[in-house]
Amino acid sequence: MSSVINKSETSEPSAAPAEPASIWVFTELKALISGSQSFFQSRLTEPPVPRSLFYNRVIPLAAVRPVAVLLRSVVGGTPLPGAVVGLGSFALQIGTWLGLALVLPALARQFHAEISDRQAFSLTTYASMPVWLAGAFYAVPEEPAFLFLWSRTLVLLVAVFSIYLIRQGIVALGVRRKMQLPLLGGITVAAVLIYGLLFMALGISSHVALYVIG
Amino acid sequence: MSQAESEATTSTGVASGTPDDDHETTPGAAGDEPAGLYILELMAKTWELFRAQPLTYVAAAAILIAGGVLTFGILLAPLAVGFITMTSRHLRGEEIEAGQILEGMQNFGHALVAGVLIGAGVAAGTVALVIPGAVLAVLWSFTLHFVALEKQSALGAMGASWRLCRRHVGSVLLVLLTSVALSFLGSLVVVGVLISTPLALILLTFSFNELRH
Repeated sequence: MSSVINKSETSEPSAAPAEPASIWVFTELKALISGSQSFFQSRLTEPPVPRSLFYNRVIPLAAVRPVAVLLRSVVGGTPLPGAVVGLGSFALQIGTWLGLALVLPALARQFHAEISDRQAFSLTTYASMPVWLAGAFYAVPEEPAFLFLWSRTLVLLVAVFSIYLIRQGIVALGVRRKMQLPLLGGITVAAVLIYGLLFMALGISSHVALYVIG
Repeated sequence: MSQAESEATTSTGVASGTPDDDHETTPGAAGDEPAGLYILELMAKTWELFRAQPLTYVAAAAILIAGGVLTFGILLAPLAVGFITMTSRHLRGEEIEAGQILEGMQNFGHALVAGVLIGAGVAAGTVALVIPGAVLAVLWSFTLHFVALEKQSALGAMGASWRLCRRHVGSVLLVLLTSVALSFLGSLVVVGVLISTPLALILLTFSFNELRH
């Protein structure tokens, strides 16, 4: 995986790496929500290096949900399964991010648009940030049921918002208007497929891990 | 560039290109994946090829699935190699028969070793937090094509697939996702898998040819 991320960096010797500004994540999130199109215009014109995004944004934010899951499990008295599921959900989020970022340029090509690797990693990262943060809702216990349903509904709504952010990113990238909706549909289907496949694989590996650990 | 296309160019420097555009329009796009696959085109060709002899492909898929299941997966890779060879023959304009899938037994050793190694690697990677398994599955996805069409050994084919797929990660991933989507749609109907399996394998073979040549 690191070699794939490195490929996006080392293949562009003439471009100075544009590190994200050293501002707090929440300030960036506020800018993303309040003015998404202008946010993407600036971020996608000089996209940050994928490695920098991975260490400064992806890892810390994708860790929110696993920590929430672990907390819930510790409170519920089942720390070991919580740790396994938490670790698995961390891998699930990273894998979905990586898969979507890798497939995005090829997917855009199908709709006569061009997105570079760096832009793909940036778009995927910033569009995923709200969903990763919403992972905090996974700390809500399963009882009472209405609270559980409420929390999961909120996560779903945030996921829909992320799709909207991707759409804003597509517009900022100058994709032809006729191709915006089909491309957005393609991205959504690809994301669901990647997530679904990794989820199934995670289910198998979690069962194996829990069986072995006993 | 037409006016509509030039209007699509923004300060990001991204222009909406046509499939024939090989030029890179974005700063920093140099070194990104070379011009890749066009899935809709490939799917159209896949369907055309399948439609030419649908019963042959359905019968071959039935042999592949039955052979794989009844032998607990031992014959799965060799039969897949046979299917790929059969598809390749059809692509060259030759008539094919379902029984030709059994010619994969000529590469039984290499196919079996490749299948076992890939299966073990992907399984181990999946248990180790999923992502390594997924990465290996993508990078080794054309191993059997190298065994079938270039007569490479198991390890040679795995290495060749690794090198080919690394250069075209995005396109390969897109093709694999399309194949998964096809297989999923096929599984919704009782015998749909007999149609979706050959379609997925033909699509993979077309993709291999495009990327390789």
